[in-house]
Amino acid sequence: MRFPVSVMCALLFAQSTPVFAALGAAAGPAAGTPQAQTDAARAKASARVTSYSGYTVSEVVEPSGTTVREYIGTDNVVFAVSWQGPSMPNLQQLLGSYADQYVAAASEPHPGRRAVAIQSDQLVLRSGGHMRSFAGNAYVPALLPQGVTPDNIR
Amino acid sequence: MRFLTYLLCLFSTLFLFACGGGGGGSDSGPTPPTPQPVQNVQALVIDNGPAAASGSVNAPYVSLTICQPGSTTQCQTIDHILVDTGSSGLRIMSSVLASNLALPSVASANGSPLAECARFADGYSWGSVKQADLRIAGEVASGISVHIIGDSAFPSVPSGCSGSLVAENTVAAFHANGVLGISTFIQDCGSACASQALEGWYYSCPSSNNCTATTLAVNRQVGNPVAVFPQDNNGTVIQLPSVGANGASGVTGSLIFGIGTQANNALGSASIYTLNSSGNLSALYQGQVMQAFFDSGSNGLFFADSSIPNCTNSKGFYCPSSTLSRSVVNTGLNGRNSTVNFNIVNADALFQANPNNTAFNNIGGGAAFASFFDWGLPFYFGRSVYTALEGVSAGGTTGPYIAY
Repeated sequence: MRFPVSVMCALLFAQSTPVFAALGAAAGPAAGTPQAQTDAARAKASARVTSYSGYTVSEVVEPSGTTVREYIGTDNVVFAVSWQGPSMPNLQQLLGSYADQYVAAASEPHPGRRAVAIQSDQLVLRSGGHMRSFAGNAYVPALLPQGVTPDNIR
Repeated sequence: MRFLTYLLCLFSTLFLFACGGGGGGSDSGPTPPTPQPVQNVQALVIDNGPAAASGSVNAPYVSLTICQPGSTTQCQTIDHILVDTGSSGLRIMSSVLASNLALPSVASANGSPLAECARFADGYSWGSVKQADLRIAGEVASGISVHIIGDSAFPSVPSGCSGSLVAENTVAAFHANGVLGISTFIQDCGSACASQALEGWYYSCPSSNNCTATTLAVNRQVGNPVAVFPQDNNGTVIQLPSVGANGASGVTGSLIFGIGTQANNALGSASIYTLNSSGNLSALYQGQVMQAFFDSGSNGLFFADSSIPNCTNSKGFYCPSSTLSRSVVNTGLNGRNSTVNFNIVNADALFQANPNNTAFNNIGGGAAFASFFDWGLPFYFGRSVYTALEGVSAGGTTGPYIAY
């Protein structure tokens, strides 16, 4: 049986635990579909979801002990992510289509080791720390729900 | 020329200690000879960096020697190893290793060779884990696991590693021939990797293109070599001279092994600030409480302050229109606190006016997560900074702690 490539990718991601949606992407299939119900069941097992005015935060503690939070608007789109803990998270998965901007910023010539910061109209990102204590966050300014400020992203 | 300077520094240091040690070997009197203290000082050099990646500032380098396990002849001395209190473990770029230095592989529990992914704040390094002896100053760490970065043994990098997006597997990308990680942690990963196969740490590689995450006992992990020394093994001291507001070139200092174990590493008037289980303490800056850490591998003071303009040329650094005087209150877990004053200058102007200088005590940048204050190398000038290992007594206090 052959799957379309996009379905294959989704399945590959689904195998790795925990399950993340990427920044700027839908947190899951549209509500009400069978897939959404499966995802919701899995989310209950792996994530703590907290609702705020205008958005929800899905918090997952990775096996390494690092806490990863996804900030999801009422449109089901992930508008921000954050992480804190002993291991860097998988930024490829977390940043999704925004990963290229991270690569460009982190690859700029610089005299030594350092943290990474991006401040653009498309993406705001800060990442820093040291081995066994990393923290960072990223958000898409255009996707911030009304009334939500960067200070809400912890 | 650079190598000659190193040799001169090294020999003068050795000579001083040979004299300072007192007592000779020719006395055949009735009292047994007093054991001579091990030479525990290695020269730190702050220069442009290795030829393949010149242009570094505020990067403290040492030379060290790695040997095949158990050998004192099958060895290679490597310069420009970055001294990093922000990581644990010895990591060497494979490109600088002599081809005839045959280091044995460290095996996983199932007998396959091991590879590791070391993740830093700005990228990842991937390569084999090998066994070696480290010789530095008069100290020896025997049979330690060493990360060999960028070797060709396992060309397929697992996604749990490459997901950190930016590869730092060359001297040019790393700005060093290797890194000597001497943080407060004894292992790089620790018990988390001993109990679970975690993505982004250790991998078992039964074939060159097949590496899967694996558990690894703590005593086989890549870790702080100081903990393995037979003596002077409870921490380190970094001593750097003061530099002026325009910086300096040709700056050398000392990396001293042990705390309170020899005459040259006593705590003296330094205050101890104990650290939490993440290696951090509390810092108060401009009314904001942050976590602070002490990282000789960071070349500036990195902290978030949106009121300070960023540079246009020196990416990642601050460029205020005039010099700023700021202060931070550091508070250890033990309640000890102190105020540290520092200046932030316009890095573009400073670098342009002092193109030959490589050591600066007044550069900072905002490229850090808002909740962290990174005391990078500018903090270390004009001080003795002590880094005590977790769980061991150093000068009468159990680490982890920082003292200055």
